Amino acid sequence: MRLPTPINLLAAQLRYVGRNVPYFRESGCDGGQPVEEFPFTFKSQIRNNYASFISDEFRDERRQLVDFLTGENIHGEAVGGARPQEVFFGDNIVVAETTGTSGTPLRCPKTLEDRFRLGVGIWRQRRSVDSQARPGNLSPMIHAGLTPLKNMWDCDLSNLKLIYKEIREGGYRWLHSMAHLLQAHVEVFRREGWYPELPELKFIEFTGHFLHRKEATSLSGFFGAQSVDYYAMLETWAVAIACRHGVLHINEHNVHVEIIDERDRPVRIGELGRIVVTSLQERLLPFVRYVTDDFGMFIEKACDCKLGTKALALAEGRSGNLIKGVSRRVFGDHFYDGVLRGVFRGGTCPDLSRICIRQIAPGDFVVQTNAIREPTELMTALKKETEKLLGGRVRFQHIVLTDTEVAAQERQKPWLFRCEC
Amino acid sequence: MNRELILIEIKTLLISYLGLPLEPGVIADDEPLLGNRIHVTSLVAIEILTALEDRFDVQFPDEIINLGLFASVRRLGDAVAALLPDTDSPQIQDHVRDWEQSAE
Repeated sequence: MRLPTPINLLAAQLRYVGRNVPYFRESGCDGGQPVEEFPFTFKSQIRNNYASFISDEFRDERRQLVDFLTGENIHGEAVGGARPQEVFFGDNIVVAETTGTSGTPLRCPKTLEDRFRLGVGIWRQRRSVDSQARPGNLSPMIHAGLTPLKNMWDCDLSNLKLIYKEIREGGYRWLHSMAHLLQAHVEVFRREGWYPELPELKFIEFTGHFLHRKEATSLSGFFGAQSVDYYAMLETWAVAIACRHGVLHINEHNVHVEIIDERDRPVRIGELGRIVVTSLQERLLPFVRYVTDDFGMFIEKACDCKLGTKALALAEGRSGNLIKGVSRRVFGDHFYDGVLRGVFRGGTCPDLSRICIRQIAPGDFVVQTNAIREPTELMTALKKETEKLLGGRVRFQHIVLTDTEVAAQERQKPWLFRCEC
Repeated sequence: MNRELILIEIKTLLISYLGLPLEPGVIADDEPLLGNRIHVTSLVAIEILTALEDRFDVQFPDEIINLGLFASVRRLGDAVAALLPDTDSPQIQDHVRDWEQSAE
């Protein structure tokens, strides 16, 4: 009996895409070149030319698949007010749509085989965090896949009680959720004096926007669980998961990660750059040197965890979350630190509970808030702190949102700050 | 390790995770697991793989992980047996996911 020689997943994947994916083959990458010789790829590029990025292995269904991907509305009928997040194309391909935090949509098709192999990689990492983790004891909460999603964003207590009853009765050990969704739930629980009893729950996996460590611990502590950060994207699924020390370990079964500077050169350890991902397990539409909107750095792996050999830290912000000023640019979270803390330190607006700021042009901002008593005071304070931070005059427009509008916006993965210019 | 025990374990897991109203003895070794009578979804496949890894203290190498492992009970059993040091098993090569061959 003989086991196969371990393969280099990256080299094998690059050989495959070089031979089978038209875009890479026509770029001259069909001879087993190293990854550095493959071109970078971008969301808009793939969205505008799906056919070139779909493997020849699926040539028989490629044309119809492209028609499907570029069609008006791929989602099926809503059931009970909820739509499935993924839909089947034929018997073997599942399509999911991502708007991503940058707001640019992309439809990502994967075969059942792709999904299986990616899933194995994800669960290997989770089981390195918790040896008892398995699909049956994780509640996906925000990812219902092919089944209609319950309305997690309906924060009426009666609805939340039903949701958490299901989690309790399911005996889930893991919860997979966005932090701000759980924050909204906890706010209701505290206000109503109701606590969801979840004795089996041990881990909460946060995806999307990560909280500061202290906030994450406090939030997961409310449920009596440990927080685990999960960095992923719909394109390649899991990129990294955090160990018990809070270090993000790259999922080396599923992805190869590079980090590049503004000149597309690889960065040194500890140097911030843009994250580029190559999927190692997908064949239908394999992402190769896919440039994300995320920034991060490789860090020295100081822990003894078996989650992976490479570790990274994410920068607090994404390229679509960049606030542009006269004298400098800042990420959304730095904007928050610099502006809102200054505003709140002054005791402004105690009845402010929701705020979303969009920079629509350099110097022009739209602020959406819940109804507040002293909007002029808030706008004046924001303007003053922003001009101090960005080094130039700015204008603010204020829009008051109703509760329904707040909930609707929260469902759309809102960033607190967003630059659209 | 007795290969029969491996096959019985696989059948027991299938019954459990799929909620099948069957006894292990009525599931043939060559029963297709991606067919109409028994159909393993990708999530159930992951459940079964992880359960087998726990049960037999093995880890399926990347090179053989694909849905083809679930072609039949016997196929999956062969893969487990190949990972156990004292089991008489066929060549693992049948189960190797060969990127290069399938790409040609």
